Amino acid sequence: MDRLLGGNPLAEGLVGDRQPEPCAMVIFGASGDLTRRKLVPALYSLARERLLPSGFAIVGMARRALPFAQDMREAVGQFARRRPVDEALWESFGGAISYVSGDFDDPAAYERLRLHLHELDLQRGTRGNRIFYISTPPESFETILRHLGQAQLISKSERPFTRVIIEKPFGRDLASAEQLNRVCLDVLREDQIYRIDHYLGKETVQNILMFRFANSIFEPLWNGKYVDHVQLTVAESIGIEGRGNYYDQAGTLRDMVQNHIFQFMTLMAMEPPVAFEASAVHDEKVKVLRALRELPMSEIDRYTVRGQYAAGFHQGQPVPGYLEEHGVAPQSQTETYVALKLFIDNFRWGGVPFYVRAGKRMARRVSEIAITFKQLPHALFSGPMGKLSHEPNVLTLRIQPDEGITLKFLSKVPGPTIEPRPVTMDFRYGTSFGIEPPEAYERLLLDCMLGDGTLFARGDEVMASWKYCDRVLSGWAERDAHRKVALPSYEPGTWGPEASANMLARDGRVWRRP
Amino acid sequence: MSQGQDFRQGERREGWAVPLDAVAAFTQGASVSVAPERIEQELLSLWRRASERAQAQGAAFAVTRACQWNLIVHTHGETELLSAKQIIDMVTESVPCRVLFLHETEDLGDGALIGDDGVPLHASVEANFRESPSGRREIVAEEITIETPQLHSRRLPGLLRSLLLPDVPTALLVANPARDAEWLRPICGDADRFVFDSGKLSGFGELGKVAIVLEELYGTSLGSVERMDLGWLRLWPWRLLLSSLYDAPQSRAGLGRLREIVVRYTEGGEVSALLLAGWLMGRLHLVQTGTLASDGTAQLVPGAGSPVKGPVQLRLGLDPGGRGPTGLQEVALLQGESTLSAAVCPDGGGILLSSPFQPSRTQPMRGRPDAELWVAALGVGGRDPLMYEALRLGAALLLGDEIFREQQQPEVRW
Repeated sequence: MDRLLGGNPLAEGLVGDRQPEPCAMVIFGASGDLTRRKLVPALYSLARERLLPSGFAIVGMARRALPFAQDMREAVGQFARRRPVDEALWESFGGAISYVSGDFDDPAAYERLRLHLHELDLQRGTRGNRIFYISTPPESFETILRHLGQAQLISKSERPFTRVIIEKPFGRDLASAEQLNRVCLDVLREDQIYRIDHYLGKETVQNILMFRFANSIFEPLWNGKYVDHVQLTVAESIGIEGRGNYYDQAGTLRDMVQNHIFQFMTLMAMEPPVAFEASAVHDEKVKVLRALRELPMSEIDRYTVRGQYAAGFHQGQPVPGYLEEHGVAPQSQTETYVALKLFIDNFRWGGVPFYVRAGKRMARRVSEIAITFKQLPHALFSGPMGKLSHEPNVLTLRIQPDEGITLKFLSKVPGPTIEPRPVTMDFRYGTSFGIEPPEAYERLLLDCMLGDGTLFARGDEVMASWKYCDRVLSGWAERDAHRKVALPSYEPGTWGPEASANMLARDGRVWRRP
Repeated sequence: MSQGQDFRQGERREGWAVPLDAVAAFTQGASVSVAPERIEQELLSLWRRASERAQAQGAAFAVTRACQWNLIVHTHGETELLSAKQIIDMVTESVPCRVLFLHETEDLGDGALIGDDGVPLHASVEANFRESPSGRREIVAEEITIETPQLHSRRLPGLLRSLLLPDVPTALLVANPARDAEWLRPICGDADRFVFDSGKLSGFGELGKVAIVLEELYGTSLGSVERMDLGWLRLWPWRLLLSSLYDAPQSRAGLGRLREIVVRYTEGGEVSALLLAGWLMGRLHLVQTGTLASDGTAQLVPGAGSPVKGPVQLRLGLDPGGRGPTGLQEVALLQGESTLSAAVCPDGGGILLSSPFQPSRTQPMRGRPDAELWVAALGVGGRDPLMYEALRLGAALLLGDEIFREQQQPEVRW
């Protein structure tokens, strides 16, 4: 506590309100969509909630000259969680926004930035503390990190603090992720690096830990003795939305599974950490990733399914197929749908399949974890047609939309007969708390200001997830090199290709319809 | 949040001359009179019928109730009731509550029923609902208003208890508990959190009375009933800015030579000044040597663990032309030859922070709306041991610290 307060007797009791220390936040890639849609509106929301420090400044940095503060005023008006904009608040918040233009590979730009930040320390009381948010295309990450180091804008010293937030993707395979990590660690300590995955800032993802470790009734059932299988779904109803050039180089495995799905799968599957602090949580998460059973390359088709959306109709509108999208190679083998069957080989989850699927142009937008419990060993209740089959209990953690938790169980239909009917117990954030959960970026930016890396990915987690995905990618590449056939296609507005349903059917299971 | 119409602009409860049946009136946010002994049954019936009607009209979802708190709110007079209801409309947007207004009034109209104890009571119910982000309507919370000219009625505590939803904590919000504490005694034990508002008190003396009443009702220990002061929450920006003056190591080092604390307040800001002084005394471990003199001064000495090395004069003074949003105009700490201060700017648009160890800067400060304070008081902000400390030390400056010495002092822990 004393370290946090810096020995300031008047700060006691204020830190408990999660009030960060004064700092300046520099956003590289300030002209990008993320800054406009998410980052600055999130910072505005924090200001509105009175969670920003008394000394705070935002500095945008990008190549071209911009009327940055003015653009951000429009962006906040358009994208802030709570609108209309509070003009009195904007007066102070907008006054903290400034801009430095320059090429990311021009040392003079970093010198201008250094002088500007020094000015802000004097004018706005930011006290030398810096957060650099690198929200540029990935090819600029290393350049920016090296120049920040050379300009002594970042250092490994503890005080004043310097932290760097790096947007995804952190590498495009294991080798490139390791290379980027080496560059980071040349100029920063691990605890200064905040690898952001906005899914981890969602209330429902954070609530996985609360649900598991603050309730006594679920954890005893949270293992292979009671759980039959787990399904993790991240489905998007949209297509690639004009991002063909990027997406065709990435694919769904890189874009969704390596980061989002593996992050919330680890939270769902990990052992209880010894404390709710960053290092203890990361230690447990990385153990899950290291326990993932190595994919048998000779059976890659039994454990993985790829697909591409075809042309058709989605929500009543005609939509192009993936191969017709702008920027996509005509013979592209990039997947817009992926399904995996995983095993976590440890005491808790031995033998329990984890079925993972993610895709674009699916029936609806939904992210969820569904835990299906084992059937009872004996069906007690009979009907006119003999023994009644019992549907299994399913616990569903809905991450988006309609955030909440549902438990499905059987109940007797009222009346003289013995007829079981599945019913649900529902918890929904909307009805229980009445409030709109904060945007994920609000939580994550605040955590970074507070120096709390719990909801960010640690380097070894990222490497472990890339290691698994690399093997999948190698398996697919090997298979394509050996016998290249077009990926299975699926109709827009469905839940993926038939091969995906077949993967579960072979195990006597079916995908949920979320 | 909607009440069928937008009542936030002071229109609430007016204009309900349009004839509506009870269910329509209820779901549109109008007040429906009910017999006091049948409040719960009538509410259940109204909810059920509202739900059936919504489904019959093709609504995809049934009407839903949500509740995180039972919130008992005491009001006195029509103006207070109207204001409290407007605040509740905003509060329940963030914190759905079953709200029980306990309204003291002589004007009960014709619908009041006189009980066995001869005290007339009138009851009515209302619904707070809103559109969910997905566009479907969700009922969020309900309000019950009990009006009576005499809160001492013997049947009132039992009636209130019967209306508290189970498995939900209860908060009791009484702006000035010193005004009439007698009726509070039978029900104060039913609350998990007691909220008052020192900002509504006038003059130094009332803070002392409130402190004594709270000690009588709940003792000094933190115990199971948490207490929170909305006035204390209003001071939070001042505390934050003052603490920022001590971020620099040199300013902290200079605390050893602290010789004077000056708190200047605006008209009606006496209680804020006392609370802030209590907070500074607690954080700097300063102990009073006597009570506050008529000129607003008191002598303090360093206690155990204090960073201060010598005696300190506390000086509270009125600034008649002051424009501070929270009743405070300036706080200055004089240490050696240095002065560290936070003062309202001449245009009232912010707080000027001055220190020889940091560049001067102006920080914006806005008063926090009452609804925001209520929400904070019902959240984690409602648990602040420093509030007890500041209240006790502030009140002791008026009454002498002997009055609180006989009982166990609250321990401030984090």
